Amino acid sequence: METTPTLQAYRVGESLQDRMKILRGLLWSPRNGLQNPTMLALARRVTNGCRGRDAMCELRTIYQFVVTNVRYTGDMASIDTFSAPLRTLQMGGEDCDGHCLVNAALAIANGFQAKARITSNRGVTWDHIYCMVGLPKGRIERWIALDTTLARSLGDASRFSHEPPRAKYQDFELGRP
Amino acid sequence: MRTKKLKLPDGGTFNLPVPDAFGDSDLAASTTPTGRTAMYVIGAVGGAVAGVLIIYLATKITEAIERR
Repeated sequence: METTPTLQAYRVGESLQDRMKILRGLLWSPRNGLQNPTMLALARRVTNGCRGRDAMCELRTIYQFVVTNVRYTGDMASIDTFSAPLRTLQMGGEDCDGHCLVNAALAIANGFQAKARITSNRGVTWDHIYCMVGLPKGRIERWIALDTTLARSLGDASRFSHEPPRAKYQDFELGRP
Repeated sequence: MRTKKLKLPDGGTFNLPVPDAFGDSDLAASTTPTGRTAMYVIGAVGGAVAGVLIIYLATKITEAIERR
């Protein structure tokens, strides 16, 4: 018997750890995340125009790709929705958590270490999330922000490595399922 | 299966397979309102309760004045 697909519902309260567990599961999803070979093929294709070992070119290219193909759009009213990277690319739009996962998936598949930075605008509530990527690969000395939600229009890559203003933040590892 | 053409930075395209029907995995929703929404709800309810209380007190004060 055919069943109607439904969104998986979670009661996560205000716990960042609970939300991160869901996001990490979607990032590494076998069907629509990093364990799907299509994700790896896409990631390699995106950075194909860069010279070997040019990590900064790879990150700029990933940023350009995401701002071109994923527009910023809000969640369902009053409900936090999360989407695996390939789903976000198929649908063409997501909010900050969806953008974060697409950037992280493309970066991790290209050999970078990535983490999620959750920020608070005024120090009261947790409001935003974006991807941080370590440079150089393997022996990290600094972190570059990939916040593609800052694009003013589709294709605008002028905010590469910019971080929005914040009162406080927390970082979470994304590098394993 | 359909495909979606993704634009690549080098000018090319990548044909991403798109299923004819989306399954119920790889999409998730929190049933809990986000923090900001919860604050709005608390603010609205608190404002309404305070408004009713003010009207009630004003009525009682007016009645007391009229009795005198």
